[in-house]
Amino acid sequence: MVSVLVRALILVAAGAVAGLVGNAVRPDRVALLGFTTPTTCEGAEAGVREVSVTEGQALCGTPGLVFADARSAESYARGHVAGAVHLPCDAKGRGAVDAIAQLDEGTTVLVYGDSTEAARAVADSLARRSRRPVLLLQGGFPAWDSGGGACASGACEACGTGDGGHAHDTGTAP
Amino acid sequence: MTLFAALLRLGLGGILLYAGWAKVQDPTDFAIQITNYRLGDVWAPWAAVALPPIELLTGALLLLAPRRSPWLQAACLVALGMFAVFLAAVITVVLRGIDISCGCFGGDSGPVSWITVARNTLLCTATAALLWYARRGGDSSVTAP
Repeated sequence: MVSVLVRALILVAAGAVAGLVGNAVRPDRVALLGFTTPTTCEGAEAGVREVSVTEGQALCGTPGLVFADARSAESYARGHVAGAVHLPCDAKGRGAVDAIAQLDEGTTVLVYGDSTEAARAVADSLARRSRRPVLLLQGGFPAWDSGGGACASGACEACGTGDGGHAHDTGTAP
Repeated sequence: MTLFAALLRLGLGGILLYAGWAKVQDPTDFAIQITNYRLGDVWAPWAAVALPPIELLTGALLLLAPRRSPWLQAACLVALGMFAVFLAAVITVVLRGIDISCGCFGGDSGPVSWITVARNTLLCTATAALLWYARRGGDSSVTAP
């Protein structure tokens, strides 16, 4: 039994060491010391700030700020905020996090969806995991569109590269 | 080896491999899931980093270790310890009325409820049965409970 106990301890120690080493080398490592503990329930405190359409329009074109579309690819193709990158959202939001990770450090991300609430989960997830300032557009794209915000339509040229390459679209609302 | 023990090894090993793999994808998310249990925040990132590889190693040993190997018993023991800790954690969450995702298999694992408690109890029982079997040296004349 002693040898089994020793082996069990070795197993636990080996796993723990592998985990620590793995964490040290991965880019999305966990901060072991000083880990912040926001939860989804505390999305507002996690760094997501809601902005109105008017405020969003004033921010449009600001260097270091990117609009991010959290709706479906079809909705995006029909019309989106000019310059917005489309977030490829999978079940766990990893696609969105990966897409945002390719933007420049310190870029503020303004997320919008079909409504405020529709994009909140994505915004919370980005705020928790991308460590960038995240804004959430009140009312989502419908509010932006009816408020006369600048729109573009068509496939997302920057998708997959995340370089915001069509950030100067000047298309018209669909 | 009895069919029952083989099924236990397959099931428990597979579950641990799947759980470990799901968690290792996003340790930050897992750390947040752990803090949601409100059992202390300081050790959450450490557990989030260490636990998935332990699950992966344990799961691999449950599947691959020879039936007479002390490593199979060790893996059973570690698995039993982990499932017991998880069981205690989900019981405290249900009793405290906290509404959280269990994080058992990564980000989208469903809420913690009495069903989670029942599932963990089943896992503990199954692991204890497998440990008992492994302690008997995997003797095929032993009838699994």
